[in-house]
Amino acid sequence: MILDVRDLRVGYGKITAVAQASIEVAEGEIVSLIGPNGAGKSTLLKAIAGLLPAQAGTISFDGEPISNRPAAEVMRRGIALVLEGRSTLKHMTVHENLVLGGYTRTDHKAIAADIERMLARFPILRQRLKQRAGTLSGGEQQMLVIARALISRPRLLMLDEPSLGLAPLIVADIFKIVHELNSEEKMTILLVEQNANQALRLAHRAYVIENGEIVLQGPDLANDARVREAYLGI
Amino acid sequence: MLDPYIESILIFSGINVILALSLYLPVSAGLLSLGQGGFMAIGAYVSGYMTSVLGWPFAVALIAGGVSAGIVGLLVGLPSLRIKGVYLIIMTMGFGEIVRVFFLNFEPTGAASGMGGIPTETTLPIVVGVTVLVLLMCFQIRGSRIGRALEAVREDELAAEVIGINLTRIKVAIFGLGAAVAGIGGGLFAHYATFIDPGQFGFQRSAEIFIMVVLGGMGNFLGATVGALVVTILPEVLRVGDMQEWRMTFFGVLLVIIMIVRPMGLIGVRR
Repeated sequence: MILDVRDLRVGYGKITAVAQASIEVAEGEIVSLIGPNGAGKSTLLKAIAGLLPAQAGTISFDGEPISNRPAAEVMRRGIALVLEGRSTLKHMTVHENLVLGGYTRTDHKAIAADIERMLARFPILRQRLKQRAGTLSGGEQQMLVIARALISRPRLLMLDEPSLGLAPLIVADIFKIVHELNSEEKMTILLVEQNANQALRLAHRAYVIENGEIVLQGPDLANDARVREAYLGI
Repeated sequence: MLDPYIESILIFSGINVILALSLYLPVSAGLLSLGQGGFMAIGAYVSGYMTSVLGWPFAVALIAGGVSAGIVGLLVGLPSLRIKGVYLIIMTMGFGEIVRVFFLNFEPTGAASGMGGIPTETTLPIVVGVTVLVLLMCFQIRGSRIGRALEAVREDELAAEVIGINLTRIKVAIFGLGAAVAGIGGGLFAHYATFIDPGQFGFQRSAEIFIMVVLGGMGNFLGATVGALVVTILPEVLRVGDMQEWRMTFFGVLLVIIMIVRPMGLIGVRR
């Protein structure tokens, strides 16, 4: 297991957002985490990334404990988090955003090559290279943050609601990109989504989280009666 | 020979540019400070004591003053830079007052009666030289990896953190660097004024430095530079004819007008 989260508890003050959650991600997998608003999905990702403290339980990456390590260190170990809501640096140019993606790396030539690869993969970003990131459309900004995260050369890419607030056509694009990253580049991906239908179709395995607890898990949740009723509306 | 009056204005312009840049540095990471006067005081007293009492060479004393202020900046910054915005401003104000009251009661440097007998070492070429060095440093930082990281921190801390920027480290470092620059400005001031007392480094001084940066524009170091020049030179230009007594009032009105017309500062990008 590249990521192993055991009995994790995370809270804000006295409020517990995630209670005793255990999830695993194996190398090369896409794992989806679905659940309603406020179930603790984003909280779980933020705790893994080191942005929120774990109150109990353990998080290990590559067999080494990373719980309660600073976010910058977790990131250097190879976990990239794409935050919810398109966290581009809006006053900086597209190019500056991409260069910052390589902040933790020191191999400048390879960073330049990676930026070039990203521009080939996302041609729209090449056209916008000198523009401020804030002037891009929602979908373009989402591509930019994914590209920025990839330039750090992560071994685990965590995406927090990448489809949120995007037009259906763009959503399809984003999911296609996620699929290609995994199938072509063997990227390990942990995906948090409200769009359960797409997220389950894309994933090798999935977890359902409700009220901070993992209530269901498995490779074929799309055919589970409870999931079909509650999340797929079938 | 340069007219002594003009020379003094130029020297104060240079010192004020250095002080404005000392605030611009933390501002570039989104950290506002109303306590730069406190760091200036540390630089002034430490370097002044070294030359006047210990007889050290000016250059060594100046650097020691800057380093002392920088170390205090790191010590103050480490526990306190988790707070932001208005709260950080109030914290730095409190710090500035602590420093002022400390020197007000500290007998070895003259306490309330101040410290005199500091040799006149600050000349125009030295001020110009130091100002150019500080400007060059700001220019270098701006185009560097650290400069981009500072800009990212200022814009969106959470996004900066997921990029892998260590927020605490970069904030404390830039705050300390700004404090060191303020300390050097204080050292230059002490060796030009030759007499210093705690009142010269109080809240009013910190506020003046703050005004320079806001007036010039917080977006880049040229803004701070222009702001410092305007705040230093404008009141002197207004010393004409019968306006003498009203010049500071007039100066205040001009500041208000400038901020209404250009809220982003004289040299600033709209954000």
